[in-house]
Amino acid sequence: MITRRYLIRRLINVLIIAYGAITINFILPRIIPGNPVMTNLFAGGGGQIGNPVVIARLTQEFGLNNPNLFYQYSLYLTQLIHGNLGISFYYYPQTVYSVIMERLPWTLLLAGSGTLIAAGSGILVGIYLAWKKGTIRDSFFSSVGMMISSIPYFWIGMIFLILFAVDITIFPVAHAVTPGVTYHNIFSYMGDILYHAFLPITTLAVALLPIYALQMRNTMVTVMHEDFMKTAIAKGLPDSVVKMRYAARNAVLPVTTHVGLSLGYVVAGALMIEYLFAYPGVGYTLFIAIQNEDYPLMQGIFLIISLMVIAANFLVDILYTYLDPRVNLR
Amino acid sequence: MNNGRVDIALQENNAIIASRAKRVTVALFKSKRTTFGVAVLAFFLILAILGRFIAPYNPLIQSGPLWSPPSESHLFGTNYLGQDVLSWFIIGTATSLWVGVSVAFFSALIGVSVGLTAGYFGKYTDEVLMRFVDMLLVIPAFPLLVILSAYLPPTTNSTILILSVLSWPFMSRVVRSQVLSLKERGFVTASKLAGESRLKIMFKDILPNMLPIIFINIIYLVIGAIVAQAGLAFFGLGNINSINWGTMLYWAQIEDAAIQNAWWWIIPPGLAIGILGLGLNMLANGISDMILLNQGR
Repeated sequence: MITRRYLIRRLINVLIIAYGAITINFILPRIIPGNPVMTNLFAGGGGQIGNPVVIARLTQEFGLNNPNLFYQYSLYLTQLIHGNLGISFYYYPQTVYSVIMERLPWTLLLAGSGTLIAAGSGILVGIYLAWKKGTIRDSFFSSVGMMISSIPYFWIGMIFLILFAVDITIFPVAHAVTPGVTYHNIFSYMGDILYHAFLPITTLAVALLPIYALQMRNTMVTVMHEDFMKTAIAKGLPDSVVKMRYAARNAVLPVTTHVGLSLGYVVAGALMIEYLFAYPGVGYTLFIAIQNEDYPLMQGIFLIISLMVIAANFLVDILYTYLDPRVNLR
Repeated sequence: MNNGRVDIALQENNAIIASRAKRVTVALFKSKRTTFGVAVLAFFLILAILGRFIAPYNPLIQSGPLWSPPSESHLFGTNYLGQDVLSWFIIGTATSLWVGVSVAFFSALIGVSVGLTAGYFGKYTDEVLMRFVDMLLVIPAFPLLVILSAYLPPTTNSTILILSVLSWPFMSRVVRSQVLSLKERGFVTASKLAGESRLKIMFKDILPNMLPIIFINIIYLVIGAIVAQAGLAFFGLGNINSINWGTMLYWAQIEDAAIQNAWWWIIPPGLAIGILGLGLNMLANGISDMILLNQGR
């Protein structure tokens, strides 16, 4: 059960964390000597060599020419409330906010479906491995899982590229949709999106699957030692019932929290995979921003992604307390 | 008289430490998992230390035709500049391991200090420190790493600094929860009653009892740092001109190795990270099983 008091406490906690992320975003460029945003503007970063419009906006809206940090901080917060994250150097005259919002749906598609597929199939694999605990199959697949979970995500993507897009050209090597094509109907559009998203999503799912599978396996092995399992077996219940209704059902809830906590990894993985497949999401944009020293865009991406992960984490937490009747928090 | 007694006590102490070291070594090689872990670790350490003597070519010099697949003279083939991939891989091992080990060292230092302080002093100290730790755990690390690397000079040391500053929170949580349970134990109460100082209790009574768990988390830190460094290098952050597993993948991506079907350039660094990760994970799991067995006894 969930009480209003618990909810409020969690909410305050989440707001403090969000405020922390916002403040880190303010402090970071300013603790580095010689404000890189301004220096870079005059040194030609992002192709905006002293562009008077950009300078005027940065000085006016963010007070970057005023050395008083408190003044800058209050301006920063005011602008943030209005959704103003500054202006992108590279995508000038687009604002950082509009650049990010344009690309965010692609990242959400990738990260969302990748997580769902990986968590769903990972939990099933975990159930299987826990049930076969101690067999050669279990130790083999557990080892493979441990190995995959420490390999960088993008490496798995590179291997998939070679296997399915270069050797045998089944899937496209880049982009989210075929460039320069007009679609006859919504279905061919959706089909093209899925066709392009298939390899990136598969890469993410394959990289994440072992993490959830191992978590599920280990939790279920612990559950299988509990007394009620012996009772269930002694009652003569069929194996499938003992396995799914008793062991798996009790193990799956802690794994839900893990899904929430791993969102940071998911995002990191999605960002790298987008760059690999030139997929036009936030991750690819982040790479472009780094290559072109577009600091406002980099920081905007950090802030938006952090706030989204913080919010998602909060939701998973609340969902968990609803799902598990044993959790009684005040 | 008194000195003699101290000497005997010291000798006994040394004997205990020696027999413990022997016991740990024997235990490590008793289980297949930990033996495998130690073997993998030893293999890569040797590669890292002796790399300069083992590498068949100078990795920065063209030593064969461009993009040539594995052959007798180039076991791992060559890259887009005709440089020997095997030599890149062997020399790169040192930097990758160095980043992993130093990051693990520094973040363990921060994490253990914060965890000890929070757990032992409790109350507001604990509350404030753990709120901060929670914040760092929830904020996604990768975008933050990216921003920090973009602002700092692109050197390997910057990468080590950035990774150390962001990798410690989990360690501090583990240490804190250990301290919370250990400080209620009898021997700590005994030291308190004997009038020992807080510092002495923290470092003489509590810390030694957590060493195995700290060691396990150091293992996770090492592999985490190696993977994170590879990720940053892949994005072109840090020193892209240094030779390591991450920069191998960076140049492979920049020069379209996947499209060129140059699998021999891509497979070694990724597979090495995977095998090292597997070995270290097995070592950590084996040790944590040993701890559980000890507690059961």
